[in-house]
Amino acid sequence: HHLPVGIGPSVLASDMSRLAEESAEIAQHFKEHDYLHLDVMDGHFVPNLTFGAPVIKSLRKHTKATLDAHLMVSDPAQWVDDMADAGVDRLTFHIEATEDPAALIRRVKGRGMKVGIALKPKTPADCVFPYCEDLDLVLVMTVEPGFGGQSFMADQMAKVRELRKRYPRLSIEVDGGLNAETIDAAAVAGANLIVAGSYVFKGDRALNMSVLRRSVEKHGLGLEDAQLTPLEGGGADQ
Amino acid sequence: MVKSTAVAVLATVGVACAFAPASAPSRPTSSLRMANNAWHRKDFQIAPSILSADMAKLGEEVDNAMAAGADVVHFDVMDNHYVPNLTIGPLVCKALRNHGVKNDIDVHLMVSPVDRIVGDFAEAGASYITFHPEASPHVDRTLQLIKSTGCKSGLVFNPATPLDFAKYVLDKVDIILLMSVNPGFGGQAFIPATLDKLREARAMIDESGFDIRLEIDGGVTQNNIKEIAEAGADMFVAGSAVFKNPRTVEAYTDTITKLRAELAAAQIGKALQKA
Repeated sequence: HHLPVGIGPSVLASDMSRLAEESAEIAQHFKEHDYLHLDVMDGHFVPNLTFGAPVIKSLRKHTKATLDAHLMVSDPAQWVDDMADAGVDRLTFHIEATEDPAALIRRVKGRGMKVGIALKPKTPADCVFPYCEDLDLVLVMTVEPGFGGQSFMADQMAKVRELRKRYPRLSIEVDGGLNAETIDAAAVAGANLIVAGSYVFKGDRALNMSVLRRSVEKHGLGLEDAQLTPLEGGGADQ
Repeated sequence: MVKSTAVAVLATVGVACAFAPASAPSRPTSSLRMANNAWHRKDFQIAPSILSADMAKLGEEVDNAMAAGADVVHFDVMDNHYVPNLTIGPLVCKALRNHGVKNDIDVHLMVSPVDRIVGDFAEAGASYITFHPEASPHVDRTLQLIKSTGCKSGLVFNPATPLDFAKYVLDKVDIILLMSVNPGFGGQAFIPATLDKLREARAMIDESGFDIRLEIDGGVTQNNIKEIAEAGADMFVAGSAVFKNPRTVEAYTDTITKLRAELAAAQIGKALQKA
């Protein structure tokens, strides 16, 4: 594919008492299509409660980075306006959480945001086929959302491949357990937007972002090694 | 987790919950019946609510508020099911503890159901956990659950919720929190009828002989805190009154100093004289 490569560090893995500073720090390593991934969980759609629009609104004041909100909430329609007002650039909702995805897509776009649909691991890809032409991205969860410390589910790559084949111009995002060991599988399958939490925030941030980026450039875009974005950070001279 | 006696845990300020022994701690049924006007045995506590803070700089905001003279961090947790807003979860509480916050963290759960998240917050470092009786089908059980984690427990009363919910569990609550606005958003105005409710709660607490804090949340400002104290509150949540521009420790110190000055001028005996 020829889609842009975007790395989306998940702020849940950052120091949440210093969101503004952490965002500024990580954004220093951002390339054009990178973004901050915001995991909004309401304790009902998933058994975890993270943060909502008020936190995002505060964050927006301190950063110019693209804000990509992944809503793991039981009534995403209710959040469109608050998220738009909070300054979200791209809003992804779960197909399992709404009875009328088409209407929701229209509302999100109506508020000037880009829109994506997310699929839980057990949700088959064909659920989203009717909407792909209208979406900016599809998010394929590679862990069960809401629980920490899970491993990357390689079986989700079949979904990524299927979507990539049917929709060559659709951005496909993956989220859950992405790191140096698992990125190649995701890149080969066709994902171009990569969410990573602890792999980015708790390691050498610049280096690890570039490791993810290079894998997608190589296996997704088919670039030669010499054309890849150079490794950054502490490992740059290895 | 270090096991300590329940009494030691309750006496410690600003330390994350440890798991107490299985039995609930015994209540001090001291002779708190006040002969005359001296029934405010506790210091007044000021608990700024981070709902109004800059959520992208929570560590700094809390540090400044505590350095400015506040006592306790008030943590408003909303899940968009019990109230129409979604704020923060246990992860953020943990981040504050990791950041180094040592003051007590007073977690107000506006969520339903309640039980599942109690453990998460205890582990994340909460000191007190309060919840709404309408949000739990088994209030007594939830109170015991909270106390079993070593945290102080409390019940929260929405403006229209009668105090009756506390009647049979006074031996299990450390805090009674009265909402003087409808929970969900900061910046609302104080509902005046809450003053009578405070007087009623104060009388109920004193009559019981139990050591229970009477907390108030919603529209508390320099202009009404004295009256609120006179009605019987001894712990004051202040959101937008404290966390506003300029967001500096100097400005926060000024605000909190003024709040304390108002409290110092409060005539506590007045409430007892009301018929």
